[in-house]
Amino acid sequence: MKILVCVKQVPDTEARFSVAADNKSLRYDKDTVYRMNRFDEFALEEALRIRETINPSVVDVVSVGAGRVRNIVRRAMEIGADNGFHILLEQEGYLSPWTTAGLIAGFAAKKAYDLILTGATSEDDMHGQTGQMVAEFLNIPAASSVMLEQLQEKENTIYVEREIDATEREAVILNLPALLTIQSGINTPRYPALSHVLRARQQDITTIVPDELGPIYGYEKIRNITSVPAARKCVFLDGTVEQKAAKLREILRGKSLLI
Amino acid sequence: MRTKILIVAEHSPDKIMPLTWEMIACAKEIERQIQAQVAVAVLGKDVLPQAGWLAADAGIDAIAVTGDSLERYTAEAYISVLYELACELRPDLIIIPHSPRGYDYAPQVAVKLNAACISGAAELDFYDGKIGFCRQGFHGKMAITMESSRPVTVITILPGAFRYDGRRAERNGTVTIRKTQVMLKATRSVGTIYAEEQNANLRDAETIIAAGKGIEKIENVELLNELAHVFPKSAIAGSRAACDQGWIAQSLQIGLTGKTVAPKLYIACGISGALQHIAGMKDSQTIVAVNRDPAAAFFQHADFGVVEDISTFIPALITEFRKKA
Repeated sequence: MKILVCVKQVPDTEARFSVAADNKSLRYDKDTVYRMNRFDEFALEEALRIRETINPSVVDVVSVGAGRVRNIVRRAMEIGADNGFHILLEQEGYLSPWTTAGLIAGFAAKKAYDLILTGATSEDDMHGQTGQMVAEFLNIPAASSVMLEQLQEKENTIYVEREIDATEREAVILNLPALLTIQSGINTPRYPALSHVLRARQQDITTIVPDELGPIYGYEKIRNITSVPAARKCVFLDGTVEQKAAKLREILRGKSLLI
Repeated sequence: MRTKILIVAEHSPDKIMPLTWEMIACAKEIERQIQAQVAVAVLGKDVLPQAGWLAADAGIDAIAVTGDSLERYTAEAYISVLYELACELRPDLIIIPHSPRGYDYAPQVAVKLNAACISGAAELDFYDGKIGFCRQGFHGKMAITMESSRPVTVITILPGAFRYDGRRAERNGTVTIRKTQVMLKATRSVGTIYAEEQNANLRDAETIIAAGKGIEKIENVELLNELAHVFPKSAIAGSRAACDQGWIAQSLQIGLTGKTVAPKLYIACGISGALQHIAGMKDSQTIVAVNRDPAAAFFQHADFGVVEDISTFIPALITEFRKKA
């Protein structure tokens, strides 16, 4: 089983940023911590579990972006991926899912993967498009928000359960090769084992320069970025911890929400 | 020239999902600003009744697309059928719900049509005869207006973002039936699987204490339980991140991929405030947010904010609440 996991690097949830003067892009502070998109961690874990049950299997990992993106490719290898690929795009700012998906599909087309996994969405942009677009570029079937998958080796198919909500799932069987976008909560992602960390340090990451992969297109652009208008006027309670607690109690009692 | 808009309905055998009306409200908002022509497509094996209801109630032209491959939802059939339909009708804008089904097929439809794809649109902006689609990003902290650079654009719209006024149209739209010969090649639908409902008390709760990733450890769930006991008719719930950690049962998840609630009081503990969660609780009467990050997006949606750590503030709150009046 030849598996590709597509991972994205995102700034940490609490990263500080400012809007650039043109109102079209963000500048993250210099000390920003970047890490692997949480949804992709679940996709990687799912790939590693498949490799443990189907022998032989290989798990490749790919990411698109600037030089710093190498860190999460390395991280994925420390967690257990066999080979790492970095599609280098020295362009900061908005990256369209079209562009990312086009680049990944161009890379994957030559590799004959049986299964491609990625996270259901990214924590920062939240488009939830890249995986499905990769599938369409490669002309293979896809299922999104996957909560369970079972390979049916003899039939060369995969049984998949998609999440509709916390109590409802949609089951579907796809022919291989197929692409799944993995929903968070499907598993508990593992931490890197020391032996894998040591091995990953010695391994090369293959860098791919996009010219080799065909044109880059972006079909939508940012007109402007503003702060989210406040839906409600938030009154911040001040004072010591105890004073804040006392104030909240008074407010809730005043609204008859607390007896 | 008129902008042609095609809405893709979301429906069940016996009803039109509320999201469909919200998409119609979105299309009507566009119609008020620019010259537009709106149609709605209903895909299924036997969807003539649904098409009829939409044409009568919304007063827009409805197209019932029927075929064996549409008996149950599959992304493959939806993608092929919508591609076929779009090649014929040539819409400039295709509106799809940002629902677990909608976002399953919308990106592929865009790729096939060489169209732009903008997901989770929650608001429209009009300028120079163009439409801007506003969505949230950067962990729910920023509002981003996107525009299409392509002649054809596919958008998915966020549940709850557009409100249908419920007014019945003065005249009926037309109903057209189309048969599709599209066959499934690589997909077979198996059906729907239901998990046991365990959230009865969530629906009836007047106070909901919700946990996010910011509660940091499972031990703190006990604190929230203790806090919940102070309130009559209360329940514990969680954000997707808290449920994924196993701290809170998945059936108690609030948000786009969970339940929608509107209690009298909602206390959000350590929840960042991404719109996926907000969409499930924004209609609560009073909202209190507790988060140690003063820039957390949740404060934009709260009536009262407390910038503190959960493990220090919640015990203080419990002590305070237990004091005699």
